[in-house]
Amino acid sequence: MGRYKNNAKAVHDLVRETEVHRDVYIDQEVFDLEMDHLFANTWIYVGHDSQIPNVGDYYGTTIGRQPVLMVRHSDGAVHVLYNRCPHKGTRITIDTCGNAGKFFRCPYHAWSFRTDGSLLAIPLRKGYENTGLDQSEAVKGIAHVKHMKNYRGFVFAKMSDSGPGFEDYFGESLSTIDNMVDRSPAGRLEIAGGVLRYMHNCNWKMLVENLTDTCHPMAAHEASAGTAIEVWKKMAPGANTKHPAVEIYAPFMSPYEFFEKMGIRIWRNGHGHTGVHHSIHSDYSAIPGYFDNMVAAYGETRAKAILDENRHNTSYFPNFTVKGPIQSIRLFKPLAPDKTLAESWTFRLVDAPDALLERTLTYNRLVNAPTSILGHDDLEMYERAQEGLHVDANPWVNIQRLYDPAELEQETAVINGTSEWQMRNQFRAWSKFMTLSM
Amino acid sequence: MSAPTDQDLIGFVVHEARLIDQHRFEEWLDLFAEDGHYWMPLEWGQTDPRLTTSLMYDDKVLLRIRIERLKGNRTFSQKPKSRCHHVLQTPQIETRDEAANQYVTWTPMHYVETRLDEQELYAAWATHTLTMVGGKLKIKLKRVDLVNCDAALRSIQLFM
Amino acid sequence: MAENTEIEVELKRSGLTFLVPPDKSILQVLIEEGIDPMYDCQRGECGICQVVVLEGVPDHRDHILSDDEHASNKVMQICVSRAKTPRLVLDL
Ligand SMILES: [Fe+2]
Repeated sequence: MGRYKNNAKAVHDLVRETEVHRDVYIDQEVFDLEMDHLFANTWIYVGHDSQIPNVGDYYGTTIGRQPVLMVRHSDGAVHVLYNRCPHKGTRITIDTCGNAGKFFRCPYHAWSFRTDGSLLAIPLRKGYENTGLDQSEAVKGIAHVKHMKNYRGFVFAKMSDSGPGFEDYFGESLSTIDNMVDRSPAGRLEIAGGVLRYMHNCNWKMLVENLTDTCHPMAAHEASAGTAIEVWKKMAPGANTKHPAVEIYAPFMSPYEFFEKMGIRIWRNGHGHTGVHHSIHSDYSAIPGYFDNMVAAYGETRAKAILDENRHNTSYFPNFTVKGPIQSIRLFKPLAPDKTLAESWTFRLVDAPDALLERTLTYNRLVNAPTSILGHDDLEMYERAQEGLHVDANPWVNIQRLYDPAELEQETAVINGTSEWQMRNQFRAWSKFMTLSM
Repeated sequence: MSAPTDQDLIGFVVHEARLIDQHRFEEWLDLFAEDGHYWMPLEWGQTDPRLTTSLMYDDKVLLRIRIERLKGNRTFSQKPKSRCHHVLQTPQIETRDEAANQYVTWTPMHYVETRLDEQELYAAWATHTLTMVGGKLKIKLKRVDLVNCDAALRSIQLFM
Repeated sequence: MAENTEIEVELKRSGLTFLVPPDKSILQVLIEEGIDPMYDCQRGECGICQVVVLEGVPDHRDHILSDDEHASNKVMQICVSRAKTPRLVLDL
């Protein structure tokens, strides 16, 4: 221990132009620094405001290792608070979600707080007379996460004062969230269907890199997607329509050329997306009535433009991803260097037919559940890598595919869909936000 | 066609678990009616498999895909293969409806799935909706409610 | 503890006035009248139902306020405390 703390150069040296050192995946000290620096200096997705529609509603989650609460205050505004009683440290809420009523009441000593975190009352307050309580940390109420932004329902927070402001941090990448919201004829999303929670014994960044890793599906998913295609061929030879599961699984077996041409877009600060020109979501069958709803809401030209975007995975650095055409999001919560909780959430497009939500949920179940055969393929690879990285003979992980030194001068680009530039983009951002406050 | 006795229903459920534990998946799949489903809800007391997400909601095509995948030479997550083990309470007859040709059993169980050095224990209730087809009992719906359905779970690769 | 008497309570901000009978607390009457005040313990311990007193003298029966606060008569706990004057005006 002690190689990386207070040593920005050592952290910096973990990321080379085309390689990263294994310590970014397996080292406890680097993980601790990620929690203290990377997850403090960047904007982290907290939750969607449709999870807390009513005054007093709250939802408990984490930012890095910090337990937080997203809550709807009496004036309708969303607040992000640390889930800790300022008195003795008790987590204020025990349930993941619920309604606090008009105030939070700590279950331990009944200190109470308004839903914006401010102190409401202390029981038996006279015992604090002349103790200087008004100078204490406790009297300040439940601490706020310093910076928060509700962008079209998506609530993000940044714990530290260092690091860029929200718009500067995300920039053009917000177009993916815009497109997903615009897919609702009402311009509104609602969290729906329930959350799939899948525990991975690997580093959180392996899941992030996989989002734009278009050279793995045909190899790793032959087992699931390849089998699905073969089974369907045998069970329904010459069928015109595909089984819903086959429709979802089959595109994972597309040839390299398909992935090369689908393209990747690179943005600043480690964000990027696959599926610039087309994607594995391009050829789903139409949902009856949906296009008409969209035309009625937006007019034909705009409706077509919205639905023609088929972005595959948009990776919001560091640990959040959006699939617009499927209306699903995933959050990779880091628990330890070798432990990550993958949460997969889904949305209802308000005013769209139920059949669309049904497909969204089918996709989530077939691809992101702990019972997903496609998920089993991926998890096996992550966990094998987590073990393999302990080999001392070679401590470097290669991310060199289609590297060109000229890319170091370029902040934004549209590139070949099999490039690993987006992985390099993520690690450059990693290095930047890790060392920003060191 | 004579209706199944209670003992027939109990025997069916016990035999079904045995086929899974012994990896006799072809025989197991054959226990399902053509329109049969295997359902593992995600939510406690879930009523809808369509507009609420499930852990599994497989028809026979999906079950067939899973079974073929388990056999695949490039199914790396099954190298080595998972094994599993059921302990059932005696199945209880929930309803018998001979007119509708529908019989429902309810079976508390413990299920262990293991691979390499990892072993996971699950507690669940299996609800079998059975029907007679051509003189044989078939599964219309096998519903598996995990007691920790909404927990952060590890991979589940076989069948409960 | 003094015998309970009827209290006339005026809520300044909402402009409403209620009579609080001897067998009910101010809080109880406000709840019954649909005012929807904040409260929790109803034993004069938690401090949540505390209100600012604009006119009248409260008869403090809580365990929250210090002697000085009691003496100042600026705030009161409406779940247990009553009035020494026939009328109270509260900042509600
Ligand atoms: Fe994959």
